[in-house]
Amino acid sequence: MPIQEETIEKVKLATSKYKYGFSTNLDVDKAPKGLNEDIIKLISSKKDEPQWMLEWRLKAFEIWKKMEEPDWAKVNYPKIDYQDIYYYSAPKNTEKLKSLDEVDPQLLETYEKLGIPLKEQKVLAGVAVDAVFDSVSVVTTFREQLAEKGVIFCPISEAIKNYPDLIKKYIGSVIPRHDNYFSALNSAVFTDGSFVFIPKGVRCPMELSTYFRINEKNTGQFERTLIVADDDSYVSYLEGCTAPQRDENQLHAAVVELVAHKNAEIKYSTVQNWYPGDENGKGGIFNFVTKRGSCLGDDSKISWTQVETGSAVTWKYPSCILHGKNSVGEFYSVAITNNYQQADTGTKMIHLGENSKSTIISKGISAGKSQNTYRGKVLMQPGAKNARNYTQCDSLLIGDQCGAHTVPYITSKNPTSNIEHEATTSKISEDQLFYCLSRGLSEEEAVSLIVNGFCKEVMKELPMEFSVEAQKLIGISLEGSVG
Amino acid sequence: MLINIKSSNSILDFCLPYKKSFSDLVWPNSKIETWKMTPLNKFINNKNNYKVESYYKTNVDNKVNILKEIDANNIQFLKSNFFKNSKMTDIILSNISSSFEVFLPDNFSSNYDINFSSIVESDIWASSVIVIKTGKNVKANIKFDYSLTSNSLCTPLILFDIDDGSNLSFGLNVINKDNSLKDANFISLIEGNINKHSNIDMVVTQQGVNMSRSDINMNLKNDFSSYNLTGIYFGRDKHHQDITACVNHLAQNTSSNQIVRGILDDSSVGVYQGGIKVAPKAQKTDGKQMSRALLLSKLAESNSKPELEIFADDVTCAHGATIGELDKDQFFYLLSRGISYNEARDILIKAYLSEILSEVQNEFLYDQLDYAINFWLDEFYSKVAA
Amino acid sequence: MNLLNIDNLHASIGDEKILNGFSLKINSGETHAIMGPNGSGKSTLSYVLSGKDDYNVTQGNILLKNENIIELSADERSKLGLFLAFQYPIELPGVTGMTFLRTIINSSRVAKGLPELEGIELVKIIREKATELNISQDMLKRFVNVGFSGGEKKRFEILQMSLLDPSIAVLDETDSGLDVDALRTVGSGVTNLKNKDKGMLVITHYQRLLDHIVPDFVHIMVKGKILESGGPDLAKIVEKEGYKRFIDAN
Repeated sequence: MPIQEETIEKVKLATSKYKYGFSTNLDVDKAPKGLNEDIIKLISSKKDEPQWMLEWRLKAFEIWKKMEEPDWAKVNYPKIDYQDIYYYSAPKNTEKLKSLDEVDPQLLETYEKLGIPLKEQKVLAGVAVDAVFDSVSVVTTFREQLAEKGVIFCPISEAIKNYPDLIKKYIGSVIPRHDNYFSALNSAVFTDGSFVFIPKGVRCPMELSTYFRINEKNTGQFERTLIVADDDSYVSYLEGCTAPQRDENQLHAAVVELVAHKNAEIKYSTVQNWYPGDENGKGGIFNFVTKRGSCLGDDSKISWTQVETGSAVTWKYPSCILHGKNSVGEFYSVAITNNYQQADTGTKMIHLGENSKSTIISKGISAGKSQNTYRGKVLMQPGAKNARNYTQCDSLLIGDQCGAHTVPYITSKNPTSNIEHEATTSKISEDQLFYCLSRGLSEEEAVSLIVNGFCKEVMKELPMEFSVEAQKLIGISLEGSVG
Repeated sequence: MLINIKSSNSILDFCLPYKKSFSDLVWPNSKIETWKMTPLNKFINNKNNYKVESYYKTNVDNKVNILKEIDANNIQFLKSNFFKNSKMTDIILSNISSSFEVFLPDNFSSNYDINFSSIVESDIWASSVIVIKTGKNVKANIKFDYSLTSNSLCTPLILFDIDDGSNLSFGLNVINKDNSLKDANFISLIEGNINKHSNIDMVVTQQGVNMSRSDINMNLKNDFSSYNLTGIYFGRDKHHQDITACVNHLAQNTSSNQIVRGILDDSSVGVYQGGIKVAPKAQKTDGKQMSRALLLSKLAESNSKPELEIFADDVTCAHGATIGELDKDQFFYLLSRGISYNEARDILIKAYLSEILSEVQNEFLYDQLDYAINFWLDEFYSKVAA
Repeated sequence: MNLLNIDNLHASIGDEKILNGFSLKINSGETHAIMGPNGSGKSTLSYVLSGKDDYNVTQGNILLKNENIIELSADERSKLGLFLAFQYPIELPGVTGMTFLRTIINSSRVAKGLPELEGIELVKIIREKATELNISQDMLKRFVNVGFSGGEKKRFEILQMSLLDPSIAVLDETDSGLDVDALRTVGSGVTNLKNKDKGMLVITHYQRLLDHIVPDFVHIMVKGKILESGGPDLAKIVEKEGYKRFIDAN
């Protein structure tokens, strides 16, 4: 991937530590700060939404107002003033674009810095991209090819207008508005995101990908993603996140819902590299995300893979509700924290269907003064006959100022199901380090190599294009953690 | 002999601010994280009219004066180390009916096992504070037996302070006095400080009462201290069995191993909450916990939460948890050898239990486990036969 | 040319003194063997040479190609051309042999001012050398040293050595854990790497390795220093009489 290599080099030159720490100067169309019914009405009207959608949002707002921000996670952050956030911001001149050529060249350049040159994308990677810039989806490539197969891949704002029946049926069906504080907030103010529908019997011909990016100062990003795989279909979806370097904290509260019907499979991969704040813990993204998939049909499968290296604070539990007989849920996670980062992440596997199976592999790496928590829940309901879960959580500590925590909740309400849980905590052994050093590797190279090895079981689940980037990210995130 | 040690004035004074009538007590509910899986407000009926009293019997020959009232000087120590701001502590202190101290002086080494037993009769709430304090280089075996009757409540608070170089084996056994109990609840709080080169081996066995929770919190305070817990609970009918065990590694080269097993029949519910906490300076910690639950009925439920909280990097910590039924392959193997279904099940249950017996080296603790297991097996078979 | 000059080296681990004035000079083209009983400080010597942290050098110098390396870290020493074949190679779970070799080769090339090698070229070089040492493709796909047999571990060490092409190779008890066939493969692998520009230091307890890697000089090490030096015959004497006579003489 020579283009990507070059881009990375360029960005490295342009910025110091955080690879993606540039900010784009664009004319921005922005609503005033604060959250109230008027803002929600404004968002809805800017998106030209039907009345039912507005009502759905307003109801969510009602619910949110009655809720309290959760405090059970092992994270500390200053109180968020929800009235001091912009809930709508869109680059100007981006409406009604027909082709890439009409896109603001500066914007395209930004994507290029991110390593996803849209123009080259068609030729090179065979990846369709729905790029979200702050709140508005700018352009979607490959739509025609996908359309031939009947695959819908478009900004959710468009889907609300063009496929109201699908949206009405599925939005909030996996994560209801009242599910938690942040899902309610998102339901009220979400500005864009992706919608994917794979029809019966279709294997999506390419990997679908969205790059999210928070650009505008003080902008919360509330994207909403909904992926529905109909019977016997397959889709692999990639999500990458970066944000520019800023001193103040920015809020990101996304909702991702997946629905897998009979014998369908959804593979959802994330490389999360939001700005983590600087070495002193200043700035960085608050990443409070609700992700959940429903294995609705028999023999369905949902697989979450995540590599989390960014954000100042992460609160995220991609989960699976295993309704279907023989359904399969998987969670593969690497979470790396350095400096003052805090991550509280894990998964829930809720078994309802007979013979449902789940696998959880979680690798947490803490360095610097960071705190890294795995929090997980495995529940076998009485109907989940012969269900199986296997969980493995390993933590690695680099340096003596960080913390690694494991908080699993394991419940079985039926005797035929079987749960196995294993967890270990250790540090990089001096012997391993010395062995690599004696072969000429620097301490940072050695740590990166060993940590990549530690994460191997998760990394191999990533699609190729992501895997290379993720391996590099691991090295970059741990810079300055040794010596 | 029956112990008749009056609660000292100092402890009574100490408890005064906690004084509250039974009907005004607020029991921990599911909103409190550590009581989420065992919300006491669901089990304990505030309208009950308990009489507060408790008696202990012991085999201690008190010529050497190892049993005494809790020393006034110790209250300050206890205050600063224990009685942390916990709802359950407040409840126990609100109505204590007996308190005493077991004091084992430097180099004490008993030539017999020290036993305490307490039978809690109907309509009684037995609430006690017991301090077990050792000097240096002590070696002793101590066991507490509690048997409950219908409509009784038992809430002992047991505090350990183990000085350097000592080795203590401690057993706690909770059992039903009669065949089928109604509304018999047991909640123990056990806290302890373990000092340099000292060790506590603990065995907790509980069964037969409607709700039973042992809440253990051990502090490995000084270098080279260690702690092992072997716990087993049996659930039947609608019983609720909970072992909550947390160990705090506060110094270097400390080690802990917590093994808890449960067998759950009928509609019983089992809870294991385990915690290993490693403080920043507790380098070279070795902490392990392993929980296993065996479900014998399709209405039984098992919950576990084996937690790790680690702030030091040079540590080896591991936990494992499994929940399931008897191994199907093993079952099949036995059946294929011509063994009947019931027989095969018995063999496998005994095998499961014998694994835990093999974990315990100490003869005194082994006997307690063995007794508890046989007690359960007897009831289990008489039920099967009927 | 003098490659390695160890001069009056004293080293300890904790309070225990292990090396007590160890001196040795190795010129290019020479192979030296150090023999000694258990506990004579042989392995310590190899760790101190390659710069392991736990050891404390209290006195003396180590000159590698006339540069004092005492203050250098293990990776810097490696980049200067020092290689240690470990007695007990370390497992790296999750790191495949291929990834590991690629990383160390390119790291050493960059240090030499050479361009990094890309995929196919690199794989070709590795495969070629691997075949010579009877290392299968399958073994390179496995994680470094994880589940390797004794022979596999040692062959993998020699493979790294041949790929890094060091000026001075230190082989620490390379014969331990090897059967006769594996010993022959490893022995000939090492012998093939000998040339007029390189120096080798073979550390061993037994004479048998020296049948396969024939030394120019043999040194007997007891209690952290060399007691006696000689030609290959000296190893034969040890083989016959053991170390007793050297220890008694001390």
